[in-house]
Amino acid sequence: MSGAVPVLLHGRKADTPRERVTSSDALGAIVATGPWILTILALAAISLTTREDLELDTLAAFRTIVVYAFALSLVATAPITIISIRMTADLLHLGRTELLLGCFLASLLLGALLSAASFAVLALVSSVSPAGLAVVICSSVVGFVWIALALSTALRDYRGILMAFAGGLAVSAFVTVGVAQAGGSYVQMAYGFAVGLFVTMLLLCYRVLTEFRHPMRNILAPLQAFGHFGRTYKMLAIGATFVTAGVWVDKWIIWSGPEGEQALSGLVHAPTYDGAMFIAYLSIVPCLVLFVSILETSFTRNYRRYYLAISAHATLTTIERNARDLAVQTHRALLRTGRAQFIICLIFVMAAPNIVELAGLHYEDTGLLRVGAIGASFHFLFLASLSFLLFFERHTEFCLLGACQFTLNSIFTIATLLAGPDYYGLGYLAAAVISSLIAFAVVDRSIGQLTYFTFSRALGAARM
Amino acid sequence: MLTQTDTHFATDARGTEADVCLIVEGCYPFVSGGVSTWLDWLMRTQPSLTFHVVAIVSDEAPRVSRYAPPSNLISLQRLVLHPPVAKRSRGTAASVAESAELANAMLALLKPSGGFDALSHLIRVIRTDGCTPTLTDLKASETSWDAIVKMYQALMPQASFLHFYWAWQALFGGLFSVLLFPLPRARIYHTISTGYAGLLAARAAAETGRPAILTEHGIYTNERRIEILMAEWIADTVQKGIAADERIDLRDLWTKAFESFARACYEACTDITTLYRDNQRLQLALGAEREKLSVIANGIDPARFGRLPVASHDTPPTLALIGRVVPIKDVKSFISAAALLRRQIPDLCALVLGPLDEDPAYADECSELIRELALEDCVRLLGTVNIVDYMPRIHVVVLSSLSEAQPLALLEAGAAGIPCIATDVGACREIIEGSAEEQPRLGPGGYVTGLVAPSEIAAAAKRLLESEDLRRTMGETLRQRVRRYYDSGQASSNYHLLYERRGARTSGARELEGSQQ
Repeated sequence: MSGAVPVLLHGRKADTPRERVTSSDALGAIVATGPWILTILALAAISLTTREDLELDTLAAFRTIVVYAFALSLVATAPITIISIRMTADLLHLGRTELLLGCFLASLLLGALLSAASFAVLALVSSVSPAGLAVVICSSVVGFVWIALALSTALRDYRGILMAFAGGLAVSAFVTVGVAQAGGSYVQMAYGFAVGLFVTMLLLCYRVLTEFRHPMRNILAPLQAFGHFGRTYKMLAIGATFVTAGVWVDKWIIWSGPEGEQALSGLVHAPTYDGAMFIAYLSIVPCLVLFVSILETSFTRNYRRYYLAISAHATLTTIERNARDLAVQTHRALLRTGRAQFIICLIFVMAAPNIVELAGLHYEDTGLLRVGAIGASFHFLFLASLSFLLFFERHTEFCLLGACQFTLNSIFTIATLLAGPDYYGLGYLAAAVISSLIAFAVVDRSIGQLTYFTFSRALGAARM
Repeated sequence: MLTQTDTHFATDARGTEADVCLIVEGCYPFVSGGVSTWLDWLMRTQPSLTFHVVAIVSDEAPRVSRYAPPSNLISLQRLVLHPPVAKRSRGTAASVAESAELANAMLALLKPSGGFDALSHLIRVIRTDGCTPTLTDLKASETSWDAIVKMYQALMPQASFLHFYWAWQALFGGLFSVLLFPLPRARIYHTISTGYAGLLAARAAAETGRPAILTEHGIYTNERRIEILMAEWIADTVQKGIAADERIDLRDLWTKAFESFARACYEACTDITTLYRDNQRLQLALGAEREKLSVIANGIDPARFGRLPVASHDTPPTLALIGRVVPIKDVKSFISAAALLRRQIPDLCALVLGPLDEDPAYADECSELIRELALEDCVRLLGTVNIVDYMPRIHVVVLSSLSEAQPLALLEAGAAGIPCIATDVGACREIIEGSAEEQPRLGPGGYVTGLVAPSEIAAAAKRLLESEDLRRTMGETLRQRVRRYYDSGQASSNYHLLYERRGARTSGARELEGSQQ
């Protein structure tokens, strides 16, 4: 007689909670912020260079096109981006390299389509006809860029990412300034900016394609694979959408308020709020770099040791000791970067009047800049905590926290909108403080029960 | 969650009380083979009784029924030992007992003193406060995690935690599925093995007070023990030297668990039968009480095979192994024996008649071995066939199994007058050479060999294939023995008496009861 048990006896060897290539999606969440900051710098450089030659309205119209393209595409492609990172990591782990190229191309296509579609939705609810095509093209190109950036992150090609963005944005700045000085319109300037982004995309794609050399034999398999991974990682995809929308939602709400202005492009923006908040966001750049370097070195070393010990059949005593080491590394990484971030924030707050003057903002924006800088610091801690949750595969918590920050940012910003201009920025700050504290607590709980969560997840994945 | 009533059958499992609830594991109706065929036969030969069948399977994979349901089968339910766990455990303190209590109850079950009482206690612990937890609560909650850790530290803290964790999930996950399964209503719970089927019968006895009976074919615990010993991936972590060491290994854990499941079943059952006397030794060793033991041999319909012609001497010399192509049948030894024999009998034909799909990896290994030995024109894996069509061309039936109970293949071959060669497992010797009680002695109906002994099989087969007289003499002897001791009519009435003794109502009794009401 054959019992029902032998199947289990035979199958057990392979069912280990594998050390997946999870770090790439965590890093991706962080690294994706860097190019956006580089873009702010490029826009600032263009503004400073051309302010003598252009009307302020023209410059504002150009900026709205770029900002909309980035905002729309970032949120629209977030689910595709995170799935494609995760899919690439899993396919590499499983040795299914024949699907990599097809999946990459499928991701690019889906990313560009979603970016363009998101603008189409926007166009339906507003009148943006003069700049319409420019935004569609910019959104699609930036959509491509996000995907290619995600895959480069999965391959840990940080040098390549830096070179591609530095090179591409230099081209953007050069061409845009050239167009402006030749008397071109804001739409033509936007096309000029898109040329540089296109160069960035090509450089990123080139680096990815040189890694994914396996020829694509079946056009449907990558799409099917994408569907499969989409279902598997739906919480990640939803969470990523919330997290990226959470970065923008306060701006969207302010745009719809009394501060909102319609630029020549037909796109609504709030120059006072946007300028101060974008610059405030720049304060997190140094700590982002520090955080990524910590993740890539001491944390990753402990992270790998923890999972490798499980796979290598360590005793529970050893596994728990490694978990404690990993917990120490996690807390240390958050505290070190948090401390550094708040020192930078303090400098930003103290130097706010000078920054306002240097950036060409109004003196009245000093307070908003200070609030924005403090909010950005907590927002940074929130994002750093989320990246740890991704490392530990706490996808549901990632999603819920993303939704929490998005909701709080929405509610509090609406409240400040009702309270009046003096309160602008406080909604973002309150949301960032609360969500970062919750995220820290969730990380703390996750790391405290890491072994339980690791094995429970493996049990769920084994469908047993 | 756990059950899925097969719509192929009537579905009123919970509502209608059957006379007998048959509890089977890993066989009927999804796997064809000796035990499944026997179950089908049992129900068909008891037309006055009604049956529920609980078929225990390992996972939720779709399965096709290989048997048409008999008219007295009221329902068939699947008990899935390892359904996917839900993502979230309710995990409330009220739904799961305290982890220490849960761990202690499970540890108590594993102890040599653990048995039916320990199982009953575990059931009470799980249902603390009258609240039934979900399977996810029991397998994946924080409480169950604490229990796993406590058990690991108590049993094998020196060993791979990864191995322990999966072993725990496999062993106790299955146990929890059994304990949470909605019991069908029946007057008698009849399990055909210990293991998880035996646990369900024990649970039914504990919860309903109705009798549970066990009619063992092979000794389940022994079969699992063989598989555990053969599992190469299990590493030994405790050096069992001279010094007493209380720690256990993964192999010990699996073995202890199945032994404890068996103890609980033996203690719960009012009657424990087996197919041949030799098995009783093992049952006693595993904790069965002597007064509960009896023997009911398997039977076949001799007339079905008795009319078949015997293979003539002018057809190619043909050996056949009738059985599933799985490791426990040791088909590779049969192939190796054919390789040895072909050197002396070049026109040898060796057939393997049985399903190939139960362990496709093993079937592939067998095909590979045939290729390696260049036996493609000699050994053929024919899959599932109608045995009756092949018997007239088979000169000798071989059974190279590592474990058997009372193989129907030998009885059917014997009924057809075909001499047999079988390994010394289960009732094979008793069938081929006769039991100690056989009077008058009929003589041998073939040869018995050692385990994994291709050369012994080849030598015995050579003697039979080269001598038509010997073949006919042994074939006739075996035919007489099967007619005398293994008639299905006799077996059927023995089971009927057993059911009646334990309270099953015949259809006549049911009608009488109905008219009185």
